[in-house]
Amino acid sequence: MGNKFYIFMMACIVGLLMAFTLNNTSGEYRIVPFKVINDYKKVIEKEQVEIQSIRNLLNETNEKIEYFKGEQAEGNVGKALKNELDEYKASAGLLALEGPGVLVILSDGDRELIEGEDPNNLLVHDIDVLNIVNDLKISGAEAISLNGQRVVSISEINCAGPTIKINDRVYSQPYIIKAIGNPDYLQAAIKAPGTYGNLLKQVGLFVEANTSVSITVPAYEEQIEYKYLKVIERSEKP
Amino acid sequence: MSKFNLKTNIIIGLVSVVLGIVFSIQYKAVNNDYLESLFPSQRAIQLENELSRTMAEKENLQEQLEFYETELRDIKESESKESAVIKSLNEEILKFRVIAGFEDVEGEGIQVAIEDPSAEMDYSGEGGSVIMYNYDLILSMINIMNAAGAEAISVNNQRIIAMTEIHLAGNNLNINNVPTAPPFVVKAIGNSDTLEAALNIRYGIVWEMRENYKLQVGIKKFENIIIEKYKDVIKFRYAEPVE
Repeated sequence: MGNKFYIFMMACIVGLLMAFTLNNTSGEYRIVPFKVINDYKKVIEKEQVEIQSIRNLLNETNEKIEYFKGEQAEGNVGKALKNELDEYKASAGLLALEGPGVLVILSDGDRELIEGEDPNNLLVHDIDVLNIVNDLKISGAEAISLNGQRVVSISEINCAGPTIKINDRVYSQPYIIKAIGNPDYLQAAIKAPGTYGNLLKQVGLFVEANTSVSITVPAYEEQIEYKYLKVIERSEKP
Repeated sequence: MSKFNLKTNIIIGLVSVVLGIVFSIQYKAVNNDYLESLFPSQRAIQLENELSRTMAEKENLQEQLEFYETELRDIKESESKESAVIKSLNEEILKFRVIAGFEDVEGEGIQVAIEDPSAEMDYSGEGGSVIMYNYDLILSMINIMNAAGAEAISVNNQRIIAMTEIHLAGNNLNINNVPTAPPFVVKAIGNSDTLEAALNIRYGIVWEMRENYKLQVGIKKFENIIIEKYKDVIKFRYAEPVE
């Protein structure tokens, strides 16, 4: 008696469990690794950010159409185009800019080496400068210069022994980085605990960041001549 | 105790074994490596639908944008034929748009694919992405490409412009504020031999990636490679042109 009752109960429970599981999936029953789900989510997130960017561009283009139509009616297209030219020059880094920001000084450490320590620990390397510049950009820097050389998309920062080379010019210590943007954010990007700048300071390098009401960042000075790059002609659409 | 105790015990024993197996399967599915745990396909299908909706929306907006951009260009260039000044201004604008990264460009160049270490080479045991955590390797690679005369660079189709940042944000690596994930594809236009040599130098960046981080790095040279433009608006809130 008891046996049969147990078996009956177990069969009921297993039956119910199976029914629930099967019911849970309409149609085919496949099992997908979490990685696939995660990848989908990442792609969707990326697409949504890009949609927002396109919306921004759409708004800007529409504003510009209105602006140019207005200027055209008054015969001022030339002036409007000149303004636009300056905008692109500023984005490219070919226009000197000024505004509030931060001044960062970076230099080799002057503490004594611990016995057996690698002297490289106390020297500024190009990766240090790259990381600091990147941290400033993350915090919304709009224009950056290093020892008076504008940092543009094709700028290279090269550590050549005791000196540092940027935009093909050689500079020695200290490295002076100027950045325009929200001064508090920019200062935090260098000084806050856990940032790369703070890490360097703890290792023993000289790192200092001071906010300023007015920072001037010069324009990129070199001529840009393209040897390999061609603009893709826009396909003529009706 | 009574005589059918043995049978009851056997049954309970069997049930326990079955339950044990079920538990262990469940436990394995959830606990092992959470990236390899299992989900019903229903959720994947939902996400797939959401993705295709999002992509359709993007395409639609992209078409609208192209339409308005053509209109804007026509307005700007409408007086080019009559006035040499306007014509040269338009040419200047195009030149600086190219430098700023607002135009699609093409030319000779290289493509570098960077992937996380294969499972058997990953000694870190943390299961996270090595290249995302050590993103300054990508900064370094961009810097070396610039030193080797690269004229335009993109990472996962995000154009590197003057203000481009690379930012580890949670599970993503944000470039130009757009979340990206491995594998990372770095494209550069320039002399492909020089670029390749600069990366492949002994104890250089590719060596460091392979030896110290066990990353999988592949370099390909191309006679023609396309690099997409920067796709957002740049608005300065703090910087003003110097008078």
